[in-house]
Amino acid sequence: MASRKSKAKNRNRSRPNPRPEPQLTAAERSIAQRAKGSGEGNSIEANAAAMKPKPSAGERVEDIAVFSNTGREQLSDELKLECTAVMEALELTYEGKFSEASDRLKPIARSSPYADWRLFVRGLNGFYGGDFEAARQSWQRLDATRRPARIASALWKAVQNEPLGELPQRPKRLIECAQALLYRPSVIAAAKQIAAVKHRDPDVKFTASQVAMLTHFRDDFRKIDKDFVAHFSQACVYLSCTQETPDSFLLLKKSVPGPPHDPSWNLQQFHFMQSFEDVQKELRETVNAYIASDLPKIANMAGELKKAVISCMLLALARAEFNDAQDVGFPFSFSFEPPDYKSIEKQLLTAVKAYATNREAHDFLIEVLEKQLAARRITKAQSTAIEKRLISAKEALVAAFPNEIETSLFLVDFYFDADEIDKANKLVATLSSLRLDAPMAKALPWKVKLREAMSLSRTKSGLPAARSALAAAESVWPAWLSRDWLLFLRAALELRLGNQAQFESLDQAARVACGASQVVGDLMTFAALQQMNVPASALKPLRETVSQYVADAEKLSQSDLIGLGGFLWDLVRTGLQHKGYRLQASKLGKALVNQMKRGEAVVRNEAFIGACCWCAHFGFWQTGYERKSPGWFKPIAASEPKAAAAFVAWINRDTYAARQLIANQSLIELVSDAAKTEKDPFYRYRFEETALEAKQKIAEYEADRRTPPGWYSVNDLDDDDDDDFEDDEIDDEVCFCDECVAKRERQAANEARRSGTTNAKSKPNPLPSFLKYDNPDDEDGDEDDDVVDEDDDDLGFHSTAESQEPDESPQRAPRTPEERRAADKKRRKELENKKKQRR
Amino acid sequence: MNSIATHPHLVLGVSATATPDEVRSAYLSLVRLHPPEADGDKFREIHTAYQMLNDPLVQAAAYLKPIEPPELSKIIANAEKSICRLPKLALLALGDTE
Repeated sequence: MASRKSKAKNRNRSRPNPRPEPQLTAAERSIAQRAKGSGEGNSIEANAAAMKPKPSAGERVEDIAVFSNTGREQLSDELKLECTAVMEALELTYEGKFSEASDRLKPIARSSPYADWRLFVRGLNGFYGGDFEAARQSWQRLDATRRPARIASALWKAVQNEPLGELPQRPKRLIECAQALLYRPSVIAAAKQIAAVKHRDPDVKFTASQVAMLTHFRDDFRKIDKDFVAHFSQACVYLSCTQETPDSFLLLKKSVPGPPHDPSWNLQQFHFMQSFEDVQKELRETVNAYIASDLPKIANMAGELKKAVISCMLLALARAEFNDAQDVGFPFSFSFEPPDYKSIEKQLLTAVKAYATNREAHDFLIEVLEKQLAARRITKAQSTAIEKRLISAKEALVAAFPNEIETSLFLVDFYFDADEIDKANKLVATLSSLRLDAPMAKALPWKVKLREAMSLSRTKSGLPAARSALAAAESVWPAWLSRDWLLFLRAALELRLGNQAQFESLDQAARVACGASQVVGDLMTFAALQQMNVPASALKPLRETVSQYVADAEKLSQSDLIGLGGFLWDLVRTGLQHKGYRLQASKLGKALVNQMKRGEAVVRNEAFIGACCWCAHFGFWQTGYERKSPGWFKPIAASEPKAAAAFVAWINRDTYAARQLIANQSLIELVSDAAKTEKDPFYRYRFEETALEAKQKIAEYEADRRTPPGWYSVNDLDDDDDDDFEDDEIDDEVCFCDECVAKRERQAANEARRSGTTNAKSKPNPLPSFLKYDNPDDEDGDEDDDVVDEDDDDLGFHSTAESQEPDESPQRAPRTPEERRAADKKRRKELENKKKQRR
Repeated sequence: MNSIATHPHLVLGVSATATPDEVRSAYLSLVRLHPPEADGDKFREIHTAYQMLNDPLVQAAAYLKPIEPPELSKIIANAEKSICRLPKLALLALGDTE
């Protein structure tokens, strides 16, 4: 036995050189010829991999039995079992399942003739795992006269990188074979050749000729190193998805098996195809193929995860279809084509069904329905049908997320409006049992009673009960809400009951009590009468007066507009807007903004702060797509947390809020700090929620910026076109032989055709049959096609304030690739605008 | 919703494509480093991140994330550094004497 010292010395010597001297040149030449289709490809690895063991003279039958049926028949039943275990263990080791291989050999006793094989497999596991010391320790205990020791010796010498000159021909040949199989120089050389193909066009990553090379490569080498061949081939498929043409990917998809999570490349195709346009049908087919055939085959995935994957995939499909329709013609034209809402809704409903707590799917479904509802050209019947679906979507959201306070409150209101009192009470009971912190949730008993009074006032039979319901609401009136309107509601109920004189006296008292001007008092009365369902005939004179105020809103005094704003803010924050609110709000809000612009002095009372909150909540001053505050509002927001919170909440609702929030971080801090000291529970809760949401959006944006630029990274847009121009100007070493000149001419012609295509459309088409190189809109061949026409603004390039309705739908910051892509496009639009301004 | 500081993958120091076993292993090793009695806040952060990564929706989102194309040269360089496993019969043939 070797001494400890000599062992250490051996250890140092035995550390193998990972790179013996492979005969790369010959192999590379061989592969190069193979790639050119010469048909020669019998590498040393191929020959070595085809080797089959032969029994040696006088070899033990136990060793022969490991590779020969003849030997196995001569074994006892017990040894047959052990022999089978060795054979299985060798297969498992080849598969890379080392621990399973060791487990399979555990039953073999030390005294068994197969103990040597057990030791050999243990050493082999260490050898393949890179632990050569463990391999050496196992193998040095092998019987040198038996096959395991001879295999171990050949493997060991193969990794020593020592000259083999002195060895006899046979062992030398075997060691060379082992070297070839261990280091597969031909495989590496062939892979290098595929990877080294140069492309003049930087956008081209993997060409059809590389696909052909890869096919040969796979045919030749998958039996030699299946792991590397599979890994390399899959990397080629991923690489082919980074270019603008889909041909290579579609070719590779058929021949290269995908990774375990995406065996048919359907998932990858789904991601890839999203960068093309007019592919909704193909996207749907791809997703359906993945869900129907690929996902069920994935064995190691839990059922819940599969459901979640289905839900997320359908959501991504819906987003892709929605974005694709929005992107038509961008940025060269603006021919808006509405999305296929029916299909999108179907995807989202299935997504919600597959995984009920997929919040994003719920939110997007509601967003899609709200967008349909906001469309101008829809009939009353269509609107009713959409509203019905919207309610179902919101009910599904509340069923999945009982804590969802805003939607629950919306539904409570809806149920009261629709006279579905039982449903409303059930939902209120659920919300009450949750003991939510939100002041509006705590104020539900008040709101229920108030809505009950309003609801009961619809019918004559309900009128007596309406009075007691209003009294009950009064008894639980929230401390944080002004009681001014209560008096108007009482007066309105008297009118509804037919007590004209009582109404007049109460209405007058209400106006005096809150110090309302004629205009403000009229609007408060009008809102109360509408809520208490006073008949249209009785309402008509006041309706005409209020309509006149709205029509002449610009002529109203600043104090009237402030009073109106303060009152309407109370209605908005409690969700008690009267029926005529939508018609009046926008004009009154804009009139107030215009008044404020004049810079007249104002008293900062409660009404004024409420009016500012109301303006900021809807951004009545907005003229562009960015959410900025006007000059008059800035000092107010900087010192009044309520106004600041309303402004920040308005930005929060923008899809691309993060950068605007970053620009207003001081306001977020003001709101955040005010949450600690504010005494009003409504505003305290609002401050906390608003500041938290803003900070989360900023953090998500920062996290996205930190991630390395991917396919859809916003950072990619920073690459100006000028960079490409500079690249073009770099002179390579140019060969002027006839062949090279002809090749360059062909490439130039192709590039010219392709550039025509990219100018015509923002996104290339993935299917060969759809590839179009002619741009019918670009007849003049003008090089400045990417310049946005200055008249674009007139064509609706920017959304104008006049065209906007007050927007309350919650919107999120871009999170998914699709959303980021949309954000990219928005940013590109910004860049175009900046360029235009510079010019 | 995750910020940088509370992003579950970053807190546990695992990649977006980490398997459940890898996530659990990372979680256990971090809990050993930051036990609840020694560092309550950090432990809560780690535990929350672990719970989030056990959420099928978070896992599904990571699962469906587009894969960045690996560099062919890096794959080749890694292959050059490693040795390949031999097919069973070819391996056994290395023990031939004739």
